[in-house]
Amino acid sequence: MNSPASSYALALPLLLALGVLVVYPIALLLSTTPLLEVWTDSYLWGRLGWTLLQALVSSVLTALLGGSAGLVFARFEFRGRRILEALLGLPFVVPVIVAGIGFLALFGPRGWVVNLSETPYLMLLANVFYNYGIVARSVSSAVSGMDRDLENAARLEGASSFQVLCFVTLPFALPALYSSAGLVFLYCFASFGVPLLLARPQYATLEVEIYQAVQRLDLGTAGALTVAQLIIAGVATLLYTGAQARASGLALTGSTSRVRSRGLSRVWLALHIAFALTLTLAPLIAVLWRSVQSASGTLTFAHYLALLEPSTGIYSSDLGLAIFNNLRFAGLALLIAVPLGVTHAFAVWRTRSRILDALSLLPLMVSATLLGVAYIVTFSAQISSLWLLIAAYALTAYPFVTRAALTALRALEPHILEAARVDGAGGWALLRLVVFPMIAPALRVGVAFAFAVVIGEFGATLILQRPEWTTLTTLIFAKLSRPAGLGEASALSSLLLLLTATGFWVIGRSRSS
Amino acid sequence: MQKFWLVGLVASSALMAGFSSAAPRTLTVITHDSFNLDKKLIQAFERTNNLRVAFVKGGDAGAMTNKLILTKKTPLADVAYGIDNTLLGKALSANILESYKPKSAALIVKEYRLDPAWHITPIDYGFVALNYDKAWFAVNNKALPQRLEDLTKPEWRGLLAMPNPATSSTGLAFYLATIKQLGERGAFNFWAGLRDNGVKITAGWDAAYYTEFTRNGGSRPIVVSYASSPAAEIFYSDQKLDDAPTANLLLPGSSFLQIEGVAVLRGAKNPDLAQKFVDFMLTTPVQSDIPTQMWVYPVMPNIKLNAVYRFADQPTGQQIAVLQPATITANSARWLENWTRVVQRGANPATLPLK
Repeated sequence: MNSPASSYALALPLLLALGVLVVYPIALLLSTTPLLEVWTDSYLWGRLGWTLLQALVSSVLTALLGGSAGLVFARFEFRGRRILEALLGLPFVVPVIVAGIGFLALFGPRGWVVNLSETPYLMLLANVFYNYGIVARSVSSAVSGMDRDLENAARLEGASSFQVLCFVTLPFALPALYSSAGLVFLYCFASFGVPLLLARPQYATLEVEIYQAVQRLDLGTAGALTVAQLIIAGVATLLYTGAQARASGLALTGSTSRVRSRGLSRVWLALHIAFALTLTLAPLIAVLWRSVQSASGTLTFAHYLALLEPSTGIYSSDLGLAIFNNLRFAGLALLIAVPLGVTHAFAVWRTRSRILDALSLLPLMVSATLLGVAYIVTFSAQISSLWLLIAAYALTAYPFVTRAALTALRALEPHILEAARVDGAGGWALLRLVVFPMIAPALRVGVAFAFAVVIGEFGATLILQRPEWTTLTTLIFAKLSRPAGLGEASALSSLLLLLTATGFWVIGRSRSS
Repeated sequence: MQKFWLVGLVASSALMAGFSSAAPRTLTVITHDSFNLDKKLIQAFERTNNLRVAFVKGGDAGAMTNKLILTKKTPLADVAYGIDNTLLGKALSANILESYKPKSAALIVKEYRLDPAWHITPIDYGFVALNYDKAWFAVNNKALPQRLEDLTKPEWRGLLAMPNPATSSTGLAFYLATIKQLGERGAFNFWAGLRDNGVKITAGWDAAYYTEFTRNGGSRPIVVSYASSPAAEIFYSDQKLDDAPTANLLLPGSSFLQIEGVAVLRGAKNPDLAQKFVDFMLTTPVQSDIPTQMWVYPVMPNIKLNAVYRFADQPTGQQIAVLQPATITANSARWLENWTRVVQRGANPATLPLK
C-alpha cells in the first residue's frame, strides 16, 4: 500500500478514462487541422485577453464573497443554516436561459434593481451567481472541521478577532479556497452559456468563438482556439494545484462546533445571509414567481397542472419519465464518478504528483464544444448510446469529488494515521475506520456538487440525445422553443430546483448532526 | 405455484413472439430538436411495417446538418428530418443525401419542391417573420413601421430584438430576407443602420423571445419570430384568449419562406425503411398533425388546419422573400462574415467586399 508503484496504479482508472474519453478524440480531431494560422487575426487575441480577464476577475470576486460567507457560516449557528447551505448549490443546475430570465428581471433594461444589460458587469455578476455556492460550501466545510481550541487559545494569548481570523482561521480555509476558486476560474474561463446569453458580442469568450467556428464548420479555427484555451487552463491549473498543495497540511479533527452570534458579529452574519439570499436566490425566486403567474398576472397553478397532462408528442415526454431519467442518470453517473474521483484523490495524495493532480481537471480545461465535435467524429457508432451518455456525465462530475477528497486527505493529521498503524490497523481497516470518517464531511460537499453537475447536464452536449432520455432540463428547453411556454418552463425549473435541493439535503446530511 | 404458471406463460409467449415473426428491424431517424409528432402515428407506422423507430436528436437544424456532414463516412442514422432550404445547398455539396422520389411526389404543391433530383422531400414550410406586441404599441401610441428601412429611423429606435444569424437559423432566415429585398449593398447599409439604431442581438430565438420581447417582460416590442407564433400564443395560453396578444408585422420582403424536408442518408444501413419513412411523412394523418406539433404548414394540398391558424396570417406575394438553396450556399459564408463585421465589430459597410 505504501509503495509508490501501487500508489501510481491507483491513478490508472482515471488516466484510462481520460485517455479514451478526452485525449484520444481531441487528438484525433486536432491532428487534421492547422493550429497556428488563425493567430494572425488580432480580433482573436482580443478575445483571448478578455476571456482570461473575466475569468480572473470572476474567480477572485467569487473567492472573496463566497470565502467570506463560508467563514461566517462555519463559525456561527443560526436558524435555517442547513437550508441556506443546501440552497447555495441550486444556481448550478439552472439552465442559463432560465437564470437569464430571472437575472434580467432584476438587472435587465426594465429590471427592478439596476440596468446592467449593456455592460460586462452583468456577465461577471452571473458568474458569481453560478459559482458563489461552490466556494462558500467548500470553505465552510473545511473550517467547520478545524479545532476550535486553536482559536480560543489564540484569543487567550491576547490575539484580536482580526488576528485570529488572519493567522488561525484563514490558513485552514486556504486550501479549500484555492481549490474551489480554481474550479471557478476554469468554469468561467471555458464559460459559454453566460457570455452567449448575457453579454454583448464584444464580451464573447473563446468558447463562444469556438462555438461559432464549429457552426460554420471551421474546425481549423475551433481547434486552434481549443489548443490556446488548453494551454492557458493547464498553466493556471498547475499554478493553483501547487498553491493548494502548499497551503495544505493543517490538521482537521472532523468535529463541528458552531457558536451563536452576538453583537457586531450578528450584524456581520445578517449581512452575509442577506447577500447570499439576494445574489443566489433572488433570480430563482423570480423564476418561482413566474411559475405561479398567469399571462394576465393573476395567481395560478395552471402551469403545474398542465405538466401533469399526459403528453401526446413523441418528443414531449411525460413529467414522471423526465424526473425518473434525472434520478437514474444522476445515480448511474455518481456510481462511476465517486469511486473514480476518490481513487484518483488517493493517488494524488500518496504520490504527491503535481501532474496527476492537474490532470484530474482535464475535462474542465478542454472546450466542451470541440469535445462534442470530436465525439461525433470518433464515436459516431456509439454517439447515441446510454453508456456514452453516462460516461459523459461522470466525466463532468468526478472533478468535484476529487477536489473535495484531496483537500480533506491533505488535512489529515499524520500522527493519527501513525497511531492507528501502531495499533495494528491494516490498510483497509485504516481506510474504513480512520480515513473515510475523517474526509466524509468534505467529500459529501463534493458529491453534492457532482450530483448538481449531473442534474444540470453539463455533459449533455457531448453526445446525441434521444427522446426517451428526456429530463427536466430537456423539457424546459422544449417549452422555451415555442411561444407561450414561459409559465410551464418556470414550473419545470421550480421542480428541478426542488429535486436538486432535496438531493443536496440528503447528500449533505452529516451523520454527526 | 400460480406464480410459476404465470412466469411460464409470459416466457413462452415471449419466445413465441420471437419465433412467429421476423424480429423487427430498427430504423434510425435523426431530427432537429424541434421535431414532434403524435406518438400514435409513429406506433401505427411501426406496426404496419413491422419495424421499430429509434429517434436521435441532432441539435438545431444547423447543428444537425453539420453533424451529418462530419460523419458522412459512418452515418448517424438512416434518414434525416429537418434540413431546410437554407441548409440544403451545404448538404448537397457535401454529398450526404441519397435521392428518393416518394410515391406521392406529384401531389406536393409545386413551389415547395426543394430539389428536382429528389435528394430531399419537402414535408412542411413556414415563414420567419417579424412579430410585435400589440399591447405595447397601443399603450405607447406608436405607429407601426411600414418598410424594413423604417426600423433604422430614430422614431423606431431600440424596438427590435433578433437572434444572431451566425448562431440561429431563425436569425439567418431574416438576414437572408433582407438581402433578397434590399440587395447586398442595400442590406449591409440597412444592418449598419439597425446597429446604430440599437438592435438587440441574442444567441438564439428563445433568448430573443423570452428575455427581450416586451410580451415576456423584456424591452423590445418587435421580435424576429415566425408567422405562426401569434396562433401558438393562443394555442398554448394558460387562459382562454379571444385574440392573440401578438401579431405579425408583414413588411415588404420581411418574411422568409423556410421549407423543411426529409432525406435518406447516403450510406444508410436500412435505405428501404428510410424510404418508407419518407412516404409516411407525406401521408394525410402526419401532414394534418404537423401544424399544431411544429407550427409549420403541410406541403400537401387540401390539409385542414386547426382553427387557431386564423391568427397566423400567411405572408403573401411581395411580403415573402424566396432564395434558391444554390444562391444561399454560394454566398452564405461571405454574407455571414460581413454581417458579423458590420453588426458586431462596427465595420463601415462601404468597406465590405461584394460579389
